[in-house]
Amino acid sequence: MSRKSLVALKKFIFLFLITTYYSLLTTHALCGEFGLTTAQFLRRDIGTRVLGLAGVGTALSAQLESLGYNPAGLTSVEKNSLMTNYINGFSGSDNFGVIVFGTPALAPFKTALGVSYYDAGNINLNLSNGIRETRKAEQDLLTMGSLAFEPLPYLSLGATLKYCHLDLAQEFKANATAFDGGAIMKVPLNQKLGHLSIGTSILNIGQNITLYRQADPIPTKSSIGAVWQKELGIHPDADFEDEQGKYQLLLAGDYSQTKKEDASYAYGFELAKTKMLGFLNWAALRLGYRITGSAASFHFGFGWGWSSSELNYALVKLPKDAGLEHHISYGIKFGHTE
Amino acid sequence: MNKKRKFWFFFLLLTTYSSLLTSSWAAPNFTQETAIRLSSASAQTILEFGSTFRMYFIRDNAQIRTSTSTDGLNWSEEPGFRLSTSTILNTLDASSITACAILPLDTTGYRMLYTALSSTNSYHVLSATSTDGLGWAKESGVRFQASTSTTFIGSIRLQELSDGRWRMYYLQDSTGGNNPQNYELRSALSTNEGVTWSTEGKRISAPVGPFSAITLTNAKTRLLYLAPLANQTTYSQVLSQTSSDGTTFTPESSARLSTDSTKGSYASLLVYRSTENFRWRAYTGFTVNGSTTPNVYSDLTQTPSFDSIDPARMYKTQNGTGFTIKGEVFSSTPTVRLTRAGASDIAATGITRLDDQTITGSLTTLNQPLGSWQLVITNDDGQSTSVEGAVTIDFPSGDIQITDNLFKPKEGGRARIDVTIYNDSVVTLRIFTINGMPVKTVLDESKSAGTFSVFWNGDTDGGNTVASGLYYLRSKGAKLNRVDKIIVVK
Repeated sequence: MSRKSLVALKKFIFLFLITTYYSLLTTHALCGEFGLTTAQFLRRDIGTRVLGLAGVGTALSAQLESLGYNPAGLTSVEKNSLMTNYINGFSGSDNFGVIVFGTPALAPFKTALGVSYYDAGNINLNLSNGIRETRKAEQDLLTMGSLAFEPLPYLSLGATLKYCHLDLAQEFKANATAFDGGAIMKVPLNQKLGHLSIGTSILNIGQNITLYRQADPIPTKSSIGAVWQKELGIHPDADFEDEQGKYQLLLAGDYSQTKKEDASYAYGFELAKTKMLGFLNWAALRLGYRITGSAASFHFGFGWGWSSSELNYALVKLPKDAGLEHHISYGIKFGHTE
Repeated sequence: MNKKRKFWFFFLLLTTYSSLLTSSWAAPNFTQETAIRLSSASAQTILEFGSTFRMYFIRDNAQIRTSTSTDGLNWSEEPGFRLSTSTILNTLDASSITACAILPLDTTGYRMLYTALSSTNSYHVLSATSTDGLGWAKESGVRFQASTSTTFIGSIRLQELSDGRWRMYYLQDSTGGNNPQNYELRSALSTNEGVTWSTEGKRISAPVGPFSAITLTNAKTRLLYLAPLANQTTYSQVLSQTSSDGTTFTPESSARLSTDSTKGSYASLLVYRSTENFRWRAYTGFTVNGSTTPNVYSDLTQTPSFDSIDPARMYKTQNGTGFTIKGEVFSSTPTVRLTRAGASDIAATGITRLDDQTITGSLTTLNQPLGSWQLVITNDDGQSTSVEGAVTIDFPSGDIQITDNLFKPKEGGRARIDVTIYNDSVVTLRIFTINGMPVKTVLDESKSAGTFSVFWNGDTDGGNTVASGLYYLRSKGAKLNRVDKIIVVK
């Protein structure tokens, strides 16, 4: 490892420790329960690939999907890219969608803009004062703008500014601003050992929101994580291997803490193969597991990439008997690499 | 899979599926009765004179003769013949008579239509009239023939329509000659009691053999016809098709009657209501292999034929469930009951026979054991049919009613959740965030069937008040699995 790299690593570790300390200070578990923060739609996973890995995205450079986990990962955006994601929620009547555009055009910065919505469908109000009417249960809109760059070799930093509008029962409304920030450090290793990244992020730093009379905190979340990736050649002959494609293994883990909730541990596994079936650039299979207190969720996903497009799917078995959620996303890259 | 293979794959899939759909009715089958009813005869039609049946049959392809019976089983041949090739010598002298049918005239008497083959190999439908059904006088002229007179016309059957018109079903060679392999079943209409006919079109494609047309009391028409087995030319089975309008027919599954083709083959077919009026008796002309003379045997639809019961799922909470059974061969007051090992029978009440294919009634399944039950339909004479698992006794789906599904916990508000279940079970009610994270277990315990109420005051399992927002209530219990929305504001 060069002297320059060592300096960068030391700086990152310092930054990592500071961030983690701040994270734990601001989001430490007061009572370890869900439902004590408002604007829950801010916690919706926008990345189908990452969700297949149980949402382990803190140290992952996941291109546009990093917008939902660690904006520092947006430094992996190498071309103009567009991604859409759709979720049919476990209630069967709620829908969540997002569209994100990212570009490397403002070098050395990588920028991304995103819009997401949440529509919970109708609720038939049945109140003891005699009111019977149908309203939209919840309609939320979120706009996001992100900036990411690499100030030092192996180090990525990123930040996101969010502005959201919440509407409950077409009667209780609020607007809010929030920030995300994060860093990812690629730890130089011997090539035989693969690639290791560590990352930290803080999401949804912002003021409390008042929808009626009393203010509630938003779900501020701090995370640290690590990702290890390695290419697994299937043939010793390099030329033949290139022709046949390669297997890529990814193992990732996150530790996170959301305000007023128990700590959360998540683990993800991805096995991808390039040059599948002759026409797919790659195909990947994913598994993930997340545990927060006594609430565990299981994640499964797969994806394909062809030409400049990719399609990802994730299935989530939510904690206890909440049910299943299906996530699907489509992404496309266009333009020239900066 | 190339496009051509894909086409044939889906074509076969579609045709198989549609044939399953269109042949689902369980039509009644015939059971052969003992003894020969008539010797050397081909039964054509039956007229009722009070309590006496008179059957018109053809002998030796030359004479129309009659027999009488009071029970449909024992027939006494009347002397002489009603019509003969020797009596129709005129401009259309006939060398043989192959079929006949009779319609009662509005004024008095009858008109007989009969198919005759002339000595010049022309096929015509001719007619004769009678005031008593015994003495017949030939009418002049031709009632009906194909566009070319050498085209085979035979096996005519008549049906009166509700508006007074008559429909004639007949066999015709589809290629203009006389090859039984090319016989198709067609129809024609008459508005003047059979004097003139206008053709309607093909009803059943070749090969179709001699047939019989019956009208059910729900106005449906059934055509029962002789047909060969695949790769055979002799008739060894009786198939059937039904129609609601008399023109578009739907095949019924399997054969109504069949025989061992190594012993002989069917030659003619006449189906008529049996004396008890709810069964059908087929008079089949049967020619033993090696013989050229057919004898008439009889076959009867014996036991009730079950097709469906609606509803097939009844509930243990219902005191009386009205049902409709589709099938056939139902006596005027059959009994219907449900049976199950280890449980008392449930007898239906208020049984009504609506028509040949429908009976209705009511079954009381209140507090009866859950599961599948055997349905037993028994006719007045004791003939019965049992259908295992025809009815399932179940309990209804549970229900949730939430009052104050938008409430303010800081102002004393709470949601009242009324739960109704119809079977004892563990009931779980859990509150989740919109992201599916568990907030509160409102209820998780065994409950007896019935309705009960629980409340959620907006707290978490730890006793803290949730943040303002939308929450989902997941309810699970006996046939209860749903998600409801609750909004909390504070």
